[in-house]
Amino acid sequence: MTSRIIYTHDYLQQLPQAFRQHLLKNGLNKEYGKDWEDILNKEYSETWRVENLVLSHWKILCRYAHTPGEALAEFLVGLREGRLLGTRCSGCGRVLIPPRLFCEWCLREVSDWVEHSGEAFVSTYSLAYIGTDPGVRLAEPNIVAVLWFKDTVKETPSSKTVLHAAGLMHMIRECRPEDVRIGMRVKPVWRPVEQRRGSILDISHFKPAGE
Amino acid sequence: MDIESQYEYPAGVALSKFLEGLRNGKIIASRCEKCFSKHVPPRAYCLDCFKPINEYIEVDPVAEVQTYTRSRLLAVGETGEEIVWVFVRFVDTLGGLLHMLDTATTPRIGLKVKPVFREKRVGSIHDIKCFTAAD
Amino acid sequence: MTYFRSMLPMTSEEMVFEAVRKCLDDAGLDAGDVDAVVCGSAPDAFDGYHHKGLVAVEPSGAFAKPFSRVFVGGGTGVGVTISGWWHIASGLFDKVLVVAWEKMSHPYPHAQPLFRSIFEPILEQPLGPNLIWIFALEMRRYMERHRLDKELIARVAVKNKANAMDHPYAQLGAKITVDDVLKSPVLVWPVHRLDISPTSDGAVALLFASEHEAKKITDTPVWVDGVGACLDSQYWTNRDLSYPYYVYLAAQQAYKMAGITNPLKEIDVFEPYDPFTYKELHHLDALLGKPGLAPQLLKEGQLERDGDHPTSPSGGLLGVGNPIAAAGLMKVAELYWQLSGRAGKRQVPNAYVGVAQAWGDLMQVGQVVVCRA
Repeated sequence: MTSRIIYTHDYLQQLPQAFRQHLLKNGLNKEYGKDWEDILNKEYSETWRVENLVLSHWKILCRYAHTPGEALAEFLVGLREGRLLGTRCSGCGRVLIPPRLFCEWCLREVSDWVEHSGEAFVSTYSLAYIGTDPGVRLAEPNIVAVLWFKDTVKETPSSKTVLHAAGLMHMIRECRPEDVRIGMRVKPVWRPVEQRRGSILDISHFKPAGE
Repeated sequence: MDIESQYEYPAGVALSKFLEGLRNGKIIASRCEKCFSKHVPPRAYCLDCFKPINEYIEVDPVAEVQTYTRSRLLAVGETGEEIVWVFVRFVDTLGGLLHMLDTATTPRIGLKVKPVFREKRVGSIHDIKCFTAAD
Repeated sequence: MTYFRSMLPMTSEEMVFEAVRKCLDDAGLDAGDVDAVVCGSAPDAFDGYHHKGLVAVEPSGAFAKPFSRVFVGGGTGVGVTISGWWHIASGLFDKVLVVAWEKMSHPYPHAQPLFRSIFEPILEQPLGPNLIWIFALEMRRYMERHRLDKELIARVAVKNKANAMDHPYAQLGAKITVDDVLKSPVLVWPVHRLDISPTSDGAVALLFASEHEAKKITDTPVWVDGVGACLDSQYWTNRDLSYPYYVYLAAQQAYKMAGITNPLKEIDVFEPYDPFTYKELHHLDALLGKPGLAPQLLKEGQLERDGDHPTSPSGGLLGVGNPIAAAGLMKVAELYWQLSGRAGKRQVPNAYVGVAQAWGDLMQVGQVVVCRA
């Protein structure tokens, strides 16, 4: 028996020139196809049978320009100058990093800016063996961590449960994966001034602060 | 930041039947075993009886223009030659199709039209090149 | 419900119809008997066409009726349940159909690039994140707090995949060992391949009815006794990830309504959200209100189907599959089957009270429902 799967990417050949160009420009002429034959041989429905399955393809490309907003704009300008900025709520006293212009606990405006030394410790970490694209396997894992900044932690007095800490997600380097520990002290490594462009990547990474 | 996503769609139970029909140069309708209503494009269940449909039949390739529009817009920011887009319903069926009308035909609501099939067909809506006036 | 599979050849519309038709057949009703419909599904990007809630209108019989789509991230499956309950509890409707579906096989070659876009665009996206990062970070913190090892956590996958072998619609029922989990590839340590639930296609439908109507439909109704919902801050790097306090608060709301004071004693079946192995324990901790208790119970074998506190007897997301919104509703459906005594080979003895929970977004959504036979 011939294949029960019908691919319709050939339909591009049928289209008027202008249509075709538009679709080709968006990469729709690629080869596709997953293992649908296998699916049709298994149980998939108690209502219907599909004799021949027709497949088609489409692509959506969305391009976004995100504005950082007032608080993060200030934060990013600070990074370019090699300064780590946060805000402080006068109600609950929390240091807010990432900074915001409102306190979600007190629901009030926040306008005090503070600069932090960047000294931090590891709240948690993981070792990423796959890239942004899960198909890419890395030989050496990236150390991804949540970093909490020194002297910003608010705990319950009795159980030491952490209620809040100013913190960021970032990478740890200059450290072997097996040496990372929760609680380990780290500090930011800044990119050279001329390479900074007002981005979270102006901090190249965090590295162990040593004792 | 870009979000780029590609998709592979299975046409499902009913539309697979329809597209396969187009590949064979036929218009396929679903027919409800209970109320006998016919649908083009076909559906896998009857909207009125709310029962699954497993019967498909070939219908006469004659449709009636329900409404139409003229457009030069091909995709975002691009213009091309004017195309008359018609929404047609096949005689004695429910549902309907959006497609192009050939340039020689003057559109009119109520106009009887028929599909013009391509020679090379692959199982896509483009197996119909366009609609043209019937007779 | 439909089969949960990595790919289904039906369209979303057809999947929804199959689940809804089976639900109505089971209740002996037809589409015309339903007063309103609540549907749930993940973001449109997964289907690749926008306003996808519309595809559920006709196959759920919602045409010309009040119809709404609920979205609370991964918590949607239980979120629709809570919304369905509101419809009935408000007194406005007598019979409400709740349906959730997902078609994750549409994105080619994988849904992962779409998941990635849940990260914040200014401070997080530039780091090139992968969805699994947040789970690995949360899991590591959880392991540290309670001094847990991977061997113990892996037992969740062994248990749930074995439970799923008795589920007729399951995608990944299997007999595996702790060793299999530990030897599967490390994706983002401490997360291994077999710690993760699959991407799936599938649909689930449930009928909610007012008290007097329910008694006409069936002799074994299952009652919604309590509902709770809670959100934590989106600033997830400012929180301690080792305990989902928001799930605890949602559970407390539901328990208060249901008159439950000691969940460990009073609840017979637990269906916590288990997209990853450690998640089941993490959430069960919060449902029990005792951080660190769930791993203890797991170690003692009490979370098995024949244990004292059966957890995910369905097979959970790890075993049955994870079509996002449908997965959460599958857990509620399991409570219905368990508490009405219709769970077949999966039946937990003496099941009168059950709790189901779903979770989502950037580790911040808690949705909880308590049911009683």
